[in-house]
Amino acid sequence: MLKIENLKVKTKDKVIIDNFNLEIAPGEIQVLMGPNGVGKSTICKAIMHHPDYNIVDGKITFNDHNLNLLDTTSISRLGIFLLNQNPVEVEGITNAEMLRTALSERNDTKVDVFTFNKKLNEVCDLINLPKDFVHRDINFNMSGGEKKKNELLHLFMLEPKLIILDEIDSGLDVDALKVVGTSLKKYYDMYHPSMLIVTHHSDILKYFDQYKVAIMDNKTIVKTGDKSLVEKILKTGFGASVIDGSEEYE
Amino acid sequence: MNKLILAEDKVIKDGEYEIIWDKKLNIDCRGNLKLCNYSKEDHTINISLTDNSEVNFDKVSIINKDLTLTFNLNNNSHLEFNYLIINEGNNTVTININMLENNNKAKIKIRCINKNKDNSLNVICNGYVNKSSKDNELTEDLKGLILNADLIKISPNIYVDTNEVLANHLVTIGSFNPEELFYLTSNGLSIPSAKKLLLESFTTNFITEEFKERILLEVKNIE
Repeated sequence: MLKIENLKVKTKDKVIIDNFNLEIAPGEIQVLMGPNGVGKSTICKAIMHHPDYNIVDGKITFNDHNLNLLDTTSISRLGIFLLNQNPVEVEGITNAEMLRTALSERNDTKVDVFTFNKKLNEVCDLINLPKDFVHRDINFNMSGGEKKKNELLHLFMLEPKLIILDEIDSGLDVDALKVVGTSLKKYYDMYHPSMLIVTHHSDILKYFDQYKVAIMDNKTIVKTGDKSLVEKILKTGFGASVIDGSEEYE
Repeated sequence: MNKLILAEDKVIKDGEYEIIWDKKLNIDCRGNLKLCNYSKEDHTINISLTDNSEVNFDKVSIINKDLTLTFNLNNNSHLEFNYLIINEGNNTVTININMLENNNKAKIKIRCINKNKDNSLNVICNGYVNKSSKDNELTEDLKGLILNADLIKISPNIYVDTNEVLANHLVTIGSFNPEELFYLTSNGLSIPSAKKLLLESFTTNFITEEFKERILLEVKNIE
């Protein structure tokens, strides 16, 4: 599904990612962890072709589409969805307006208003989101928790095949984390998407049974493993012993 | 909203009106007023708020010549002026806010765009706070959206001749916010659709809903 080969990413002439390789199979959950500032969020933005991040070497493919050659719109329409740790506020454009435009453009046909509204209502019920969110400006004047829930509305409406979660659990209180975690699990159970979860914590991971883990350091992946690697890191931190394996990793 | 056609200098008292005028005029506002005006052929107007008046004025100008709007606030008056300028040609719009005496509040919000890439707009917003006046508050929030190679110049001038005043201004001139564009495109919108929604939001979001359809028609073909 997603394949990243020998990726090198620059921003403002500074190399942030180098020799980065990662594969995520259909339905697979890949967790990406690492100390602050090693480039985890850069990977998320590079996949979506954020204008500040330049891919100077390497290749990203998604279901045989070379993402290096595509713009952000096309990448999104292939079914890739980025859920940011701090989603942008867009004053004056409602969720409904954006989603209606996105769906009608993607499907190249005018969205049936009845079907669209019905689905919006169903999604709001499914993720326990007040229905007035549909007509609120995108993330505008929302708390951190509300913004994440608002993003879930977009997720369920756009039905992506690959979800990129960039520190979705940062800044969430216990209740908001529960809503976000259970909603993501519902989505996973319904659609079996691939997921790339960037996180510092294990809180969001407890909602998923199986996942692979990769640790980033110095612009690239330095260690991979299964969920037990997360437990190790939570105990000992990202110290050299975990990364180079000098402390036994079970 | 009732339409009020102003043929000569006039006093307007409490109420909600869409006002229309076709020559230079002086208006006295008294009491609690909600006014709006949508003009394709604008003319200079001087609006005075008598003591204890509260005026909320939403205005849209499609301008093709220079224009001056003046507001005079005396005592205990509140003015909220929301103004959209859609410019055609090379024009200057001057807005004067005169805080003449005490305890007035004026919130001026202006949004402006050029209709064509070779247009040039100069907006001058002058706030004057008189000597020996007290407890006045003045806020100028002015934004210009550059759509092409057009030119927008905004001068937020605040002339204060007293110590007891709260005055501030915020000015931004620029193109579409790249983070907003990235966000919308990463949700699947094409660049033209994202820009269209952002332009519609910029021009209609702060002004009375009554003008929305007319504004959207006006900006529809701007690229």
